[in-house]
Amino acid sequence: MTHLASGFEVALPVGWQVAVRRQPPSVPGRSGNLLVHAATVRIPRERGDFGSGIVSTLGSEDLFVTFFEYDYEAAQTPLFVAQGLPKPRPADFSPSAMQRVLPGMSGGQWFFTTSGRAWCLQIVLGSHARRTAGAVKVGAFLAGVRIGRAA
Amino acid sequence: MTLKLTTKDALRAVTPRAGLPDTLSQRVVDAATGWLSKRTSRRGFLIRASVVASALAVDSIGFLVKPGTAYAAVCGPGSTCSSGWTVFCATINNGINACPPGSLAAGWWKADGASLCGGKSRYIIDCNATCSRCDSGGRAGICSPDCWSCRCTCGPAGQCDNRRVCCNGFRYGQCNQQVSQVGGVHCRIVSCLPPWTFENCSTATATDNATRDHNSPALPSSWTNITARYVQLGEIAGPLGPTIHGQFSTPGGQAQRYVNGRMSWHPATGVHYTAGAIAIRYTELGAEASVLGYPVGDPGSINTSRASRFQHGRISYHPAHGACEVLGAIATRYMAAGSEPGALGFPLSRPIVAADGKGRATPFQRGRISWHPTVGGAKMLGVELARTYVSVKAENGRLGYPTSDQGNSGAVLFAIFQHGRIVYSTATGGVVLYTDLALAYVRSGGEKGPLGLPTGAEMTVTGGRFHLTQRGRLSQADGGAAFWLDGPIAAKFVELGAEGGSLGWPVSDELRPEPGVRRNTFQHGTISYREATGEVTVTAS
Repeated sequence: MTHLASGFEVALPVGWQVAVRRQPPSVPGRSGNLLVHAATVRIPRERGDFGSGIVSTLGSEDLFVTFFEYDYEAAQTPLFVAQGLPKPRPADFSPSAMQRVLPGMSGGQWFFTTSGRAWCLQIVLGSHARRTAGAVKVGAFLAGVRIGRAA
Repeated sequence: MTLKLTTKDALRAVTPRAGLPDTLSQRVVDAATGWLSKRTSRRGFLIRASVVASALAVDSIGFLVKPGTAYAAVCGPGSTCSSGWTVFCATINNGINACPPGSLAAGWWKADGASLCGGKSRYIIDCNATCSRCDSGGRAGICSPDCWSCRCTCGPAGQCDNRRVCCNGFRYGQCNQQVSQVGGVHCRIVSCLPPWTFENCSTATATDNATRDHNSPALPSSWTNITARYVQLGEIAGPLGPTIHGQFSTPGGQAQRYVNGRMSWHPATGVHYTAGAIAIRYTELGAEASVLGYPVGDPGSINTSRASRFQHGRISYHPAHGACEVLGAIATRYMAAGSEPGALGFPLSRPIVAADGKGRATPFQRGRISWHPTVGGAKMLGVELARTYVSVKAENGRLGYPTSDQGNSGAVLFAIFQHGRIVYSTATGGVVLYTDLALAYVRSGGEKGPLGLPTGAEMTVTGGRFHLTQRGRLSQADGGAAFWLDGPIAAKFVELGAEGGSLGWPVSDELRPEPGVRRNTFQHGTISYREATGEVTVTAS
């Protein structure tokens, strides 16, 4: 298990790369929320928070995962009513469920709360046609993710 | 009539920097559009000319030295429908940079170092569809596409922002988190200020610099002093609201329209805005090209009312009277009198054009200002004199135009007109003296003279007219001059039958032929009054 950042740990499967950074604090004096990217391709330094600059490099068997953390208050809102880390199924993925729709690819998005922290999990599969295999692969990755309370 | 446009004419109409001397950019635009004009329809040419001009405004160096099209320079990268990005709301919402009806802000991100925001962060807000077609299905955050309030399509043809409309089932998630499900991204709006300052959004910050130069021909295409001022005013959340289309050229300057107003720039006046009913009226009049010219200040507030100053006038807004312009010399006089908070208050109507087509007047809450090119400057009357003036048809009546501002002699108010005088006191009300009778009244000493104040209206009798005063009389035979008489002489004159009596009409003012003696001469005699004894003598001739 690798401790990535405050309250976020991951056991990274072979072939995966992970990167973590804090969102810029938009309000002075407030620490930025966590942003975790994981992918089966090289994660470039210049990338958008939901995958610009990396999604377009995915091959048909590749995956890209984002954990985007929201302000603590968001955990109390209806959008984040789902509790616990999601378990994506192949049927959850759609070619149109992406920030930027790219031919052949597929995306899925889950809003949830865990340990009092509000998150969006976004997953992009390199191939919608291979979403069943993709869902298994991403499931293996998510099985190694632990999110606890921030320190 | 057919309007013939040359290439340069067309560019002057669309180029933000039109009017400047020929530059490399201008020459390139000329060359490019010259080529285009030979190969496309007139409408197509104008659209393409606009795109080329906008491209130069947005990224002139890039457009000139890098491979690519003008469309890419205006709309930024990934502007086709197949690129997978979502269209800008301004492109599909009548040029308005706001979420269209049936959509709501659902999330946002920023792009740093954006030239469109003066080198600072540019914020892009997704307007997502609502789930109006059904109330179940989907998952947390996004409802099933069947439920979305809009349908997936591409941006409109004929311009470069062809990105997808209502296709992408994605939610950034910082906005309207009280709404558990929304539809796909209908379109995007842009701002140079953080979304949480004007939308129900949280501060959780997402970044995507790849979208920094995404834009629409229906959005401002460059950072100018107009955009800087707009941002300073609070941008979308400020008094002007969202932009409508981009900046455009005006005579010698630039302007930008907003949902709630307009911003104008001219090198001589700087950047100033007009808002609300004042902006609507300004636009109705022709805005910068109108007789008002450019605004020279931002709107000022007076309780629930507002006013804007322009190069050649003013527009004042009052809830009871609407937005009324005050123009030219009348505006100058109005401002000298303190404008809206001053003696006159707010204008009651738009300028009144006199029957001769030349004179102008504006009525105010507490008075009136009239102007005619043959009378030096605009003249101001207070409410009492104005009321009397209007009762005798004002500028279109016998009095003509005022040649003086309202004056006063103690509590008595008066004003001089081309053809008479109005005198007002609380005791007598407003009284009009016309022409020769007015001159005779002035010769007598006017309001401070022996006659006292005129009372009532001018009376017409056989052979002439007369006017009573508090202590005397003004009298004028047809074809003759007017004269005044007062005190015991006037009383004796009335006793003898006045103008219809044996003495006939007066032919002189009251004179003092010797110390202590006053005398009026009439057509058929004289009346003398000896002050020491009070003796009144009538002499027939």
